[in-house]
Amino acid sequence: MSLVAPRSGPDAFRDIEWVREPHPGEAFRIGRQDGSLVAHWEGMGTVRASPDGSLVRIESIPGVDRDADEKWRTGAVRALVRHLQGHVTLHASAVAIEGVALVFLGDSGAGKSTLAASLCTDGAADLLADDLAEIEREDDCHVVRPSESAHWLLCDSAEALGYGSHSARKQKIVAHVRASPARLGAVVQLSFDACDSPSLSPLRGSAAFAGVSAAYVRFAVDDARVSQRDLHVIANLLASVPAFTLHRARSLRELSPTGALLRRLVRELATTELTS
Amino acid sequence: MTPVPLDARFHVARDVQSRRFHEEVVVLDLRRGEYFSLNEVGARVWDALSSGATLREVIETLAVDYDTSVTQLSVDVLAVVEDLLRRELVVQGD
Repeated sequence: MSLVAPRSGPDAFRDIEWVREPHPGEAFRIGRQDGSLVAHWEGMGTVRASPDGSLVRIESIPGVDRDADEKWRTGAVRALVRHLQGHVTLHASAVAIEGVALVFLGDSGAGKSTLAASLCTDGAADLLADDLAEIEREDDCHVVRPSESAHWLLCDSAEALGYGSHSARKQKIVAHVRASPARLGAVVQLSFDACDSPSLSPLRGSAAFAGVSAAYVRFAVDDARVSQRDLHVIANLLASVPAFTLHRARSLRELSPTGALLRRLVRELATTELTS
Repeated sequence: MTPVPLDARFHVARDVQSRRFHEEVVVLDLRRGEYFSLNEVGARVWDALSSGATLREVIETLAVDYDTSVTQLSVDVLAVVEDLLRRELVVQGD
């Protein structure tokens, strides 16, 4: 399979059939051009790939920040290529607690990175992913592969966790990382609610599907075979892994009791595993 | 919409896929790339229609299972079936 060389200059984006325009607040869109899939991130760069992900060409915009470029290439770009190759990546943070992986889903601002960093800073967990969690099927279970080695935190979260920060931008903090994949114990959808203490409730049915589907990183959105595959992949995941909604008040003071709650969840999951 | 006869049978439209998620079903229309979710009763209707039951059989079975009257359940089941037909997720006929 050949990959047509990218055009450059004023012609670079001519004749692209955009199939996913940016959502409000995003600067990302996907299209097709000359048989290749094209993904463009405003301010970062462009990726062109063959439909099966076997050939990929990445072009960063000249002068882009080095850390940001590395994060983009190893994160978002890698996730899209993984999808073309049939692998699952969720827009989520993930940690391993006592060898069991928890994946945290949620909209931007839901506290995914902060919760993962809090657990790792306490020494209760090792980081698997800050922003993009890679999930694989292994024998009879799902595992989360370690894919990222740093937390990216906003100023208030960094300060609350003891990392001094005066930067308005997200701060990169080296994490306690896990070296090997961890069995996926649960998917946890993060929710801020007016409640006195953090709690977990089962997330089932189409609501569980909607949560995972919203986090599922897809390259092509107009290919029926790929959509069909994605439906079955999500169904298989949720058939073997429990999902929960984590309710907690929007306050950094809730991080400690939330961590305790999640450690109890992991112990209960381990007990269930042993008795089932 | 033409009234749906009680002895009608249905089949899932081409290019439509579904998967069960606990008590509910998610239906994917591959032609439009749209997902639909069916609640517990809708999922029972979907499963029965997909397996070749007539509308009458679906209503009678669910009326027993949910311990409710056929008359009451007919309204709910017909609403689900008409919605599925309108969205071309199922097609009337064997």
